[in-house]
Amino acid sequence: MSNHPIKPNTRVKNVRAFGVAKDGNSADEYEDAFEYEAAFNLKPTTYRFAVADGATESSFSKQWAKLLTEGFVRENSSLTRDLETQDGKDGKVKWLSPLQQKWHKDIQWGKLSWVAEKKAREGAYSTFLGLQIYPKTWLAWAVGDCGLFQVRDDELIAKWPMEQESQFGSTPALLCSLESRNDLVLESHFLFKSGKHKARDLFILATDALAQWFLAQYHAGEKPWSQVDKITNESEFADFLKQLRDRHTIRNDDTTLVIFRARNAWL
Amino acid sequence: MERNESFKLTDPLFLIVKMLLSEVRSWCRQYKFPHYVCTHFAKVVFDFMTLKEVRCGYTTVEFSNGMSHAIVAFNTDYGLVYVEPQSGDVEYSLRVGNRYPYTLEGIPKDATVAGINIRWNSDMKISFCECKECGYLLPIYDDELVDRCPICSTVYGVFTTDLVSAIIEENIKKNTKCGRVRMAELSEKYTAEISRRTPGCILFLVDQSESMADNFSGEVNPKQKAQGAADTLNMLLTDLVSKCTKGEETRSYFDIGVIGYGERVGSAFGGELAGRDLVSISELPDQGRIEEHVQNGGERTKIQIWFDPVARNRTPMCQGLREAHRILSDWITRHREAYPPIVINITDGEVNDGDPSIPAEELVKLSTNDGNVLLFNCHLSSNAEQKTVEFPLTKEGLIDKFAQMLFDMSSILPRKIIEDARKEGFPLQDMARGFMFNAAKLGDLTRFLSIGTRPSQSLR
Repeated sequence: MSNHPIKPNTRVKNVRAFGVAKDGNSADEYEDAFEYEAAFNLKPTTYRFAVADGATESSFSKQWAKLLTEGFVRENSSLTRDLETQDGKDGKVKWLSPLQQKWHKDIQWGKLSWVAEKKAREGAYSTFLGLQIYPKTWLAWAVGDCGLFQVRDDELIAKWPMEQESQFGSTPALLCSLESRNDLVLESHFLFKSGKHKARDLFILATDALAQWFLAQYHAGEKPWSQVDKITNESEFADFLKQLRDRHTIRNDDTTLVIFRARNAWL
Repeated sequence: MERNESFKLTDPLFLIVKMLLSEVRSWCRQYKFPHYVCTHFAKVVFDFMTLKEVRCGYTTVEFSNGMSHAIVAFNTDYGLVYVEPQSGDVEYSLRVGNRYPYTLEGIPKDATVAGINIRWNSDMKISFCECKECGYLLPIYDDELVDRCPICSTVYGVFTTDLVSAIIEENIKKNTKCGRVRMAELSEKYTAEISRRTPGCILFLVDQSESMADNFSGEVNPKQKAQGAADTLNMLLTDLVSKCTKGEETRSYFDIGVIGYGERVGSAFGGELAGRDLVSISELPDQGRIEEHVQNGGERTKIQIWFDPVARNRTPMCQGLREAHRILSDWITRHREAYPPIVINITDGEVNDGDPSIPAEELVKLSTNDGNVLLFNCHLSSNAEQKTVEFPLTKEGLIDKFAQMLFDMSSILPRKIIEDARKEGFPLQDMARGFMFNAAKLGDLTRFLSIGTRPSQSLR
């Protein structure tokens, strides 16, 4: 990724993205990741958004989640096209391979105790959801239980890939930082979906705890998007989560929210 | 048929109640409204106990919202206890004004017990008729009609006991499924978060008696049971340490204790940890030694060794269990909200300081707000006749008498563990016990204790 075609961190306006660590953990123990980027070099200009949730019970999963989100939003078009081919897993393997190599290279293996090395050799795991927006359409890829929601005129028109709050658990599908451990996931758990959008459509990307809360609220007849749409900064997001956590209506977990409205102006 | 002259109902020992319950296994039935509901569950146990000449009471629990639920009462050496026939669980603390310990359909969680009505079989006129299918004697109370045979389940008619039919009618009228113990909600227990702020506790009990120097059954390369116990323990600890390791650090997700019982009873830790009852798992990586093992295929694997085999003297398992009780009572007072402690007992079962089921029963009575202490038994045996057993549902197939005893002592696995195990393709049945015979998969149980998102075995 050193010969990256896009200047990193070209921020897209009007996107709100926040992450808050699990209650009781410090901020540097937050193992979710989120990234977004505009690829102005592509025609038409595309916008990419990604969230990922590094698995607690694997080592160096925070780094792996970060690599996945960065790898998605900053890749050049051909690799994204690789992901678009739904047949076979070669394109996905090709996309993941440099990220896996970087994950391995970034670990200071020599400094690890034997047990830490043993654990790290088992690989890092993470869920992943990537969204790519073209002027009128969107494409999304997901492994595991991050959630994508699309709201138009105060109605939820897409919820994906999880549809029910009961589908969440502690063993979602995960992408591994070791190529040898991804066979089954790439074959049957790397999901793809596409859709259309209009100006003013609200898009929400969330990691599992928030996605589960969102679905539960929605199925109880609430409009959870109106609550998250009010959040404008990280401290408001933290306050919002604290209230939900105190009432035990959301799982205490690292929680990430990316929210934006499709606008004609940036398309 | 008239009452047999020698028929006499007597109050049972608690142990007898437990034994008879495991014979009648009322919980194996499916709840099916309105054909097989709480009243049927209770009546099957009530009839069975009557046939066994055990004095017991058909109990109706009334709730503050007007609903009722049927269970069975016994007056035992442990005092008045109630049995929930849908799960086999025993309740000691049922009182008017308290909440019912389980969630029942139709009963709001905050509903309190408004009344407990016990009808003792000893107060009824009892006669018997012979089941036309299996020939078993069926009890008839106060000359009422027989419902069903508790042995072969042949149905003889609807319930006729006034009390029983009243409950059903009332429930049908209110269109609820009252009385069903919702197993899914039983699983609301054993769901506490395991984190550094609220760590779990795993206490190993390891048999270090002389009999552990015998060989295992049916092994090609005979291996001492004591070596097997040490291997099992070191492997379980290695897995746990690995589970808690993030990056360069092993996090304090669990407090760990190892109690040996043999020549002496007490902490088996050595080195810097010597004498300590419980240590944080984060202290373990720096202790012990690392050995490299060459597998049959020539593959080299490293394993950390904290404990070497010991086989000396007798088997004071009762004392070991009482020591566990002492340590965990203290831990629980400091961790009321925690995931309940898990005790893993690794033994050959040839106990010689009394009946271990009594201290075992005391031990699993300890509880945090998230549930009772869990006792799992890992039985290493020289009995070559007995096949390997993992997480059985019943004692059937256990010919070894020590195995039967350890099975009875073993906790039923919490629903949450069973569900998580199933999701990972590990087929465990409902009500399976935390018991294994000459098998080493007990580590899988600790695997299913969730610290957070984990890679599923089935996805690898």
